[in-house]
Amino acid sequence: MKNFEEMQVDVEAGRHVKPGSEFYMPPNENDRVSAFIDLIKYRAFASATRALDDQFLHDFNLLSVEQRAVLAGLDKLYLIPAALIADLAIKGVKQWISSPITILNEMASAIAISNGDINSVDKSDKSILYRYFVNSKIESKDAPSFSNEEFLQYTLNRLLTEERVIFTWIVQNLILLVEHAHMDPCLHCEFFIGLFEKSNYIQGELGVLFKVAISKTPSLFETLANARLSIDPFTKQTNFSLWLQDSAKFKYIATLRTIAGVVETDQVKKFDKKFELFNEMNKFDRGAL
Amino acid sequence: MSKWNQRRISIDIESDYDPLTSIPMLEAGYIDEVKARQRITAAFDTQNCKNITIIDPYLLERDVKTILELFATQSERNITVITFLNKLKDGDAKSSDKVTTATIVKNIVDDLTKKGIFTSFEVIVTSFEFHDRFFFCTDEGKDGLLVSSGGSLSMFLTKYSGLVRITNRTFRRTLLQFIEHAKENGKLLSDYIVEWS
Repeated sequence: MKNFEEMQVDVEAGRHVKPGSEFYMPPNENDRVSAFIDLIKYRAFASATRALDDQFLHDFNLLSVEQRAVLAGLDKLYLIPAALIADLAIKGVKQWISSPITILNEMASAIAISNGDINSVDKSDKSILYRYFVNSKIESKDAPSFSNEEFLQYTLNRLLTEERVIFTWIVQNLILLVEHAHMDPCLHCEFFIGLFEKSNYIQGELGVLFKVAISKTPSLFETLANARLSIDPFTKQTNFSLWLQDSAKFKYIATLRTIAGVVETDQVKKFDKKFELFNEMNKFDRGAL
Repeated sequence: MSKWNQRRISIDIESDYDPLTSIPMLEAGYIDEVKARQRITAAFDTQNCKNITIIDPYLLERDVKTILELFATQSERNITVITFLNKLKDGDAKSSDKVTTATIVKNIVDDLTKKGIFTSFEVIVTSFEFHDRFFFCTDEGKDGLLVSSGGSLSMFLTKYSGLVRITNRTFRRTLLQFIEHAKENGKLLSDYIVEWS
């Protein structure tokens, strides 16, 4: 049996793994909490315990949680975190959520997020709340926890700038917040226009989100109507796929024109004229109409 | 060469370009597999595909994450995965190892179903080996978007693996025949686990 110091050296040298074994390794190396969430979601425990050296695993199980946490922090392969998280999940997260040991605190947060247990999450930590928001479908009773303006600014900014998939449930969460008046679209015009410009197509939930947002804040229609879209004849000739994509987005904006509360301002009149001209110019084009 | 001629040539090159028929890693300005993966997402989303069949002899726990990243961008989708549960290194025979993978995958898929991320998520384990990998939209009345992938989900778009968009209708019909054959001779994950554990 090895002592704790020897085990630390072994982990740092990668000697805690059976040679040639296969195991799940999360891709988010720069974001430990997301990596821990992945370990839980993709059931890494089974492959991790199979891959760990038998003697090491035996010795590991005799250590205290704090010692195991130290080893978990050293393990770049995420096998020890996978084993430790499974153990913490069984014991319950409550006692670790405010632990002064960062890695235990992060693991407890990851377990709470994976379980959809909003009450156990530290709501004052906006990065943890953000991870909850992007990983879970929020229920309406929990929506007030996400209405803090500072959190919303942080989250919407990350959603726009981060290279991440905007999953259906993230858009559903946004719809819920707007519908239940926990998020005022008027204060987040930049996000809506950014999301519109970033999206290559507006369908499904995304279509619903803009509709709900404009119903709550009709002036947002003007902002969307001013979105940069390449629907001109030159683009049609030189970059047809972009033109087709942007034409579909332009026509989508037109479907929002009739939402109650959209006032006929100069900008809106300009849009109506542009839409009329667009239809006239492309009336023989099956792809556009 | 005049600027207009240069422009004409570049338009000619671009007009033949299809992001779904390419070896992304060889493309000038290729950024990463995330961008390459988004091409598939965009193509299936643009056509509003609701029924998507993924054919891949290999299926590991982590591949469910790739499937989520590819297709959990629209709701009310029915996902079918046809696999032989091949392991990366060993085991083309039915082994307890495959049952372990099947059980873990089933638990992950059950979680997704409970959360309602997809309308349905079915995994069919075939009784026969196969090789080719495809993403196929089987919605009726649509043009049956079909993409052949050179690499498995686990090594998706790495190692210079290519994508080929297939528009040939005879081949699409053949692939539908393959799916039927796989369903008739295959087992749902739960049945597979019961049979082999």
